[in-house]
Amino acid sequence: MGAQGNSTENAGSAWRGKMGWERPRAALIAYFVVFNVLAAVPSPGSASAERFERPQVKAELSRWVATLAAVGIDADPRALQSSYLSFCSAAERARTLALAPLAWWFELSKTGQGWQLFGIPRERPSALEVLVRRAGRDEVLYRSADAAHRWHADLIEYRRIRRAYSPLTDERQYAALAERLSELAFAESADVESVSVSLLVRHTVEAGALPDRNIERVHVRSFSRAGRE
Amino acid sequence: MSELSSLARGLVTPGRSPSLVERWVALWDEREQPHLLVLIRILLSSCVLADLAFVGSSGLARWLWTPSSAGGIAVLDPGHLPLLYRVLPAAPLSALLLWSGMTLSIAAVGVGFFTRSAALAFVVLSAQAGHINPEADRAVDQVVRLALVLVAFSAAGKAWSVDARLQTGSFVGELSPANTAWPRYLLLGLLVLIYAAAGLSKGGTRWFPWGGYGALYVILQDPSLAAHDFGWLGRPIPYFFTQVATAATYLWEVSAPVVVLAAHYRRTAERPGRLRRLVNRLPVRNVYVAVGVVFHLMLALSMQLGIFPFAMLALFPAFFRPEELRRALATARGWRERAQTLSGPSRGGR
Repeated sequence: MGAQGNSTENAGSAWRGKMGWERPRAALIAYFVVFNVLAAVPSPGSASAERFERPQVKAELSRWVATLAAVGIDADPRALQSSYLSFCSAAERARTLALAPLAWWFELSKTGQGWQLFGIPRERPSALEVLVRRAGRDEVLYRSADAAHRWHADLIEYRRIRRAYSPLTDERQYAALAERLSELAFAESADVESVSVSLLVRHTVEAGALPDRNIERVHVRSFSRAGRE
Repeated sequence: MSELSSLARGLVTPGRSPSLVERWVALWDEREQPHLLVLIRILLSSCVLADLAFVGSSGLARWLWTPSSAGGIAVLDPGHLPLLYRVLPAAPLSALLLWSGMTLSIAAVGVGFFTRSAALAFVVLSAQAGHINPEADRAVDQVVRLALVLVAFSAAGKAWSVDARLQTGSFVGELSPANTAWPRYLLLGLLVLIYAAAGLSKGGTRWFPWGGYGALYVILQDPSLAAHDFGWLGRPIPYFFTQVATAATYLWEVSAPVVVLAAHYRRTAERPGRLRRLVNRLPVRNVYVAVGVVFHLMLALSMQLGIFPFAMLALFPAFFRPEELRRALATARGWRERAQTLSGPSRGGR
């Protein structure tokens, strides 16, 4: 065509390239580009009324109410929460519908195009603690960000393992991790009588304020050697 | 040059302005040397291999991809078993086989041995690992899979590879300019999409002026994420810098599409428009990349994110064109030769 003198190729035959592959390839790329861009459009995710009970989400809601008030919009926190939940639900339904043509690909390759990196910084972060009891005395083996207690820190802090406890999203996986850690502690020291794995939650205070000394111990999982034998 | 080659390949009708469809088809048929894709293949597979080597050496494969009922930490839904555990028993040995498959396939990608098949095999196996333990499947694992799909369809295995040695008798292989450029274009698009989406997903008030730009300060106080104790960042001057860094991070992420706009303006420099002229005069892409490199290096130094910063940086060559890499290498060679010339006489004089 054209430059090579082939008069059979013209604008009307845009789907047939000289080699026969260029146009189907461009169409296939368009298909993947469109749906991957759609999938990457930020989604509010699956919000629930339960999430609004969490202190951090409550604090976020309060800040948004204050921000809206500052620009002259009086928003009732409950009404704002309700509107947000309705919006999330509708957005999620629309997203699922829009992405249906490429759902098979996202499932096969496990690439959902969700790129929410630190969308909402956690103001109540948790540290993992592994505590053992030997000869009737408690001893900390590992504690996040504690240079004095680094038992298997490389393993516990490895990116894929950390997700089992920080942030805690699946209690069952956290329980399994706690059990594996206890097995490791029992196997390494015959004098370990019991192992306790827990999360220490602390509130991150505003910069310059006095550190919050209140540490809440949650999700405590205890294992005794006697119970294993 | 690209339009000429498109004409020659019969994708654009001569004598009239090409339609949007013709432009689209011609874009994805553009050709270039595969240097950058080869570099991405080697860098990315090195990152993943190092990650998997750590999993292997610390015995984590059993924990990560074995069901909790069989000695691991994966939580499986019996009604929706991943393909691997429909074929193999849900046991530690299967998890070890999965790890071995991923390690061998990514090593093969790295050395360029059956590059395309190895890349696709890794994608399938890594996706299975993600299905078995979704919590352990992080954003970077998705990025790696998407990038390797593109590597599989590219000429990344044609040079500096065992495949090249087998085909041409030399590891250097074929660096022909006749290879399709679209895999690199899509990698560039993927980077832009990831950063723009990450920026637009930042819904927490801490990322904005009305939240005091406190996001980075808050993130760095997380004991399970921070690489060091950053309590001192609460002092006024360091805190101010975290605020600046928070604003810069957000702006850098949401402005990612500017790179695509700059590329478009560069390719259509002959068209009119003040904005086009302005963007073409400014080093928009280079500034974006430089900030990105600093951003990822800071992440690597301050947070425990594993291979994330390095794997993302491994994709950064996609921002450039092969001729830019060649020019940079030629400049470096020139500097080295000048340095050798200058150091030669002084050594002789001693």
